Amino acid sequence: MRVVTTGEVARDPAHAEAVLVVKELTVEYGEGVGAVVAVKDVNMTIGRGEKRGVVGESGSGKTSLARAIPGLLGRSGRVVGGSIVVASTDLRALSERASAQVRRTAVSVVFQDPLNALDPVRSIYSQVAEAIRLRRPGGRHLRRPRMRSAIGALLEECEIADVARVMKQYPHELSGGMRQRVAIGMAIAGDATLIIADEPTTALDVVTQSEILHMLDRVVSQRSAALLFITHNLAVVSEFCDTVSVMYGGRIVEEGSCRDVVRQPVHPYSRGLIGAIPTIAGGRRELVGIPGDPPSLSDLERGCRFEPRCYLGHGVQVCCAQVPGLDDVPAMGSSRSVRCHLIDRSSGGGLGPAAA
Amino acid sequence: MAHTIRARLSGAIVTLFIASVAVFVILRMLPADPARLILGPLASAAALQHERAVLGLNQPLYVQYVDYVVGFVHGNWGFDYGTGAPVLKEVVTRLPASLELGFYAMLFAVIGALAGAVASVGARSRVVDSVCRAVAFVGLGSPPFWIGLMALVLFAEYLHVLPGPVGRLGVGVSAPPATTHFYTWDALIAGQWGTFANAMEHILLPALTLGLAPFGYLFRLLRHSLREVSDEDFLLVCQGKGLTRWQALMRHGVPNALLPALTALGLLVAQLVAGSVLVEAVFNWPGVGQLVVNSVLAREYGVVEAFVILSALAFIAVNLIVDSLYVVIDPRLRRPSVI
Amino acid sequence: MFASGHREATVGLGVILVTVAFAWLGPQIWRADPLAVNLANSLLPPSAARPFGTDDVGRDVLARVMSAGQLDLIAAAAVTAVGGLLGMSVGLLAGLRGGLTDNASMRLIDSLLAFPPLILALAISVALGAGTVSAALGITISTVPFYARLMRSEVLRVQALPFVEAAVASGCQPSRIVWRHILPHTWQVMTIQASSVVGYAVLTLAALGFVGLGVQVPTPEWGTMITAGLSYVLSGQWWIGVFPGAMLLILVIGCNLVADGLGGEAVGSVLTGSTRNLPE
Repeated sequence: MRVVTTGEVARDPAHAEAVLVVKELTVEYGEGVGAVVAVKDVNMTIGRGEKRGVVGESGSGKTSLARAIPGLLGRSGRVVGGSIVVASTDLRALSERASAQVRRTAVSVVFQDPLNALDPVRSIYSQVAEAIRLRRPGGRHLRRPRMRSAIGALLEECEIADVARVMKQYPHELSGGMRQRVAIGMAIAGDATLIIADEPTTALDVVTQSEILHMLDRVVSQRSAALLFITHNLAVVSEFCDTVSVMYGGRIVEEGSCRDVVRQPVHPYSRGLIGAIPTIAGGRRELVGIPGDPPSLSDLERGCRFEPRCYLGHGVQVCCAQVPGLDDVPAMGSSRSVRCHLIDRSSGGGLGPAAA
Repeated sequence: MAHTIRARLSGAIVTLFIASVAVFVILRMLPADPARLILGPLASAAALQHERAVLGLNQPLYVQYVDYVVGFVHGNWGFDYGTGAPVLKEVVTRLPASLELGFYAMLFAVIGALAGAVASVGARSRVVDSVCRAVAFVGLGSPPFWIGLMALVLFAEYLHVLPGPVGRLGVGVSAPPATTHFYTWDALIAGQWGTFANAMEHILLPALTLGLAPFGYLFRLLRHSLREVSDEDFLLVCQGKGLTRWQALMRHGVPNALLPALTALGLLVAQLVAGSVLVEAVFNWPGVGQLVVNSVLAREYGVVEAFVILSALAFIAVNLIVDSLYVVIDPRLRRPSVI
Repeated sequence: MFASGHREATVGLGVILVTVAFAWLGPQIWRADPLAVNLANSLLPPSAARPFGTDDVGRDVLARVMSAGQLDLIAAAAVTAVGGLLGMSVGLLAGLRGGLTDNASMRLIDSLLAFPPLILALAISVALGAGTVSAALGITISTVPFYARLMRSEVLRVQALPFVEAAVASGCQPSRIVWRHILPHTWQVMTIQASSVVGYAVLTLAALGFVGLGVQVPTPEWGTMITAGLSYVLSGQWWIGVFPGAMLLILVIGCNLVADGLGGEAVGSVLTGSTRNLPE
């Protein structure tokens, strides 16, 4: 699997395989003095077939990122800077109508809360049919029997049993897991090259969660689509993503291949996140959380956002005064970037000088 | 579904029964002398005596009640002492005028409120929103007969663009051949364009006046439910499918927002019935509402009694229809949740 | 939303206070007699000497609008208070007792709701005979269902809250539970209802006046003044009917702003949350 990271793309213009290129993306909510910067200068490139995890606490900006890409920020949010290129089209330059066209063909979204993801007064048939009509070439002309079999095939692919019955049902008659399967079915109705899943399993019980994750993993792989997977659960990411971006306070603080980051996190925040995961096999150890709360994003950014909660940088002058850059750490092997002043970049990503 | 509708129907019948008792209590037992109430202060002693016998006031109460209901069902509503015509006949002659007015008022309220709500929430138009909210506040905040007065001052007296309060047609214009008894429709059916235009310009102000309060009420309701719906995730999901924000709102948002508004239909009808009493007299509109006002002023309460019963009947019927419709339309009621 | 809501409620309260001041302090400054007939001065248009003009028998319209304001405000306050007390008692009893009490009283309330509110008030004042008191009584009775239904559903809602169950479990006296734990939690919704009832009462009193059932001549009342003004619209004396209506509009808008600001739109807008029970 070829892993494309932002660092490379910046240098290499020949990223023909990139499905999504986000550059310097900044998202704000509200206006004037009370404006909140939810996403700040995010760069991200996802290649065809890549599964990218985005991890962070609530309030880290990951959901805003997921909604900004397809242009679904809603009433109060808006993209104030940067570019979003999907399938070599800059979405920010598009009209509402044209970006709806892109959502139809190139980008699909699966949302967090399956209970509210479906129109309560329309049958499953009518909602999936709408997705097929919009997304599939020629889907507009499908007549009822062929539409039924198309929907049946789609729902079966999402591991729904008794398809004929489900089609006739309404959302309130289905369990949360079933609704999420239907939602995923609608997302893969066309041939989207990028599928964005925003915490698709958070609201579900653990067993359903893993079934749906495996199903999602399978359908995405079969289509060799790119996946942007948003979650607060690092364990889920480590299970099936190729690469991971850790977000904090609206910025990406660490990025790299999933295995490496989970095995050897560098940024103090990532270390905290990993320290907070219990393991089944690893014997007893104390779980370490991260003290304090996520930062208020309406404050002006001075220095590192994580500084107040950081066990290394708290009170350190450079951390308080200067916003750290997201820089490569060559010593950490393939393409790892970290946003931290206190990294000794020459010697294998060890932390210093303060930590040394 | 059939079960739910049966339950609603039996509920409506019970309500109807208790409401009829309420009418009986209010109009036959509260007044010291119902005969005097019905015949008015100028009635002779003999007439009063006769009326008391007709009303059966010396019978036991339940017999009086049964007689009363049976009499009403048989169309025995008494006589209008002004014209000497039976109340039933008087009401039936005047009903089409009221229904036509109510139809256009409702049309204005529903279409105006829906368009206003969609424009202010969907298109996020601040101007439309402010204007509609202001109109709603005025419509809900002032008596319709004052609105009518203001409209007449402005359009008939000051601008001279619309006719004054002269009824359904201008002087010298004769009514179109009666098919539906709605002058505007009948004129169209007969192809009398001049009469149609005349009927339209005469019904415009009364209909807008009558429809203003229902408009205000409905606009606020739709605006509220549309705002709530437009924050729902499923609209984003629909946009995620490739609908524009506008398409998602029209196809999925509006139907969802309309459902709660449906239950308000009964209240709208109540507003129209009550409003017709207050608006028709202002515009000299020859409908049932004007008849009621004239009867009250003339202290002839037979008409009022019939009107009270009829409007309760209409109100109960509309609510029953709406409740049943709701069960048919909303899948969540049609098939209750399994989880 | 709550912040802007408070501002709305404050503005509404201010508007109501202004009309109260207009009705009671106004006559201290503008000392014309609202009942003094002077045929020589009839139908004078508004001027510096008579800001609202005079009516058909030469009475000063401004003085009449002020004096009518007193009557309307007192009537509205009385209707709101008495109707509220009655309706809330019925609702409280129905909600607490349940069973037969609940069923019987709600059936009765439903039968009152089978009439359009204005028509019910009209029927009752017809039965009791035209006049201010019987009109007010009719309006009061027509408001009882609004409060009763809402109070009942509030009591049921609050009763199911954990802290009430905790109080019951800890052996708290029933009367104490009602006064200390249940009633305080119904105030907000009841205040919203009461403020929209004030508006309803003024409008309905005016409507009954229009029909000829409410306040009788020559006592000034906004509704009857508008009605009197109707006859002069087309002859150009607009001021007789326009000013009382404008005052009425201002007062009712004030009431509705208060109701909205306290969350009326969310609870179920003016008078509606309670008059119709939504399908469950």
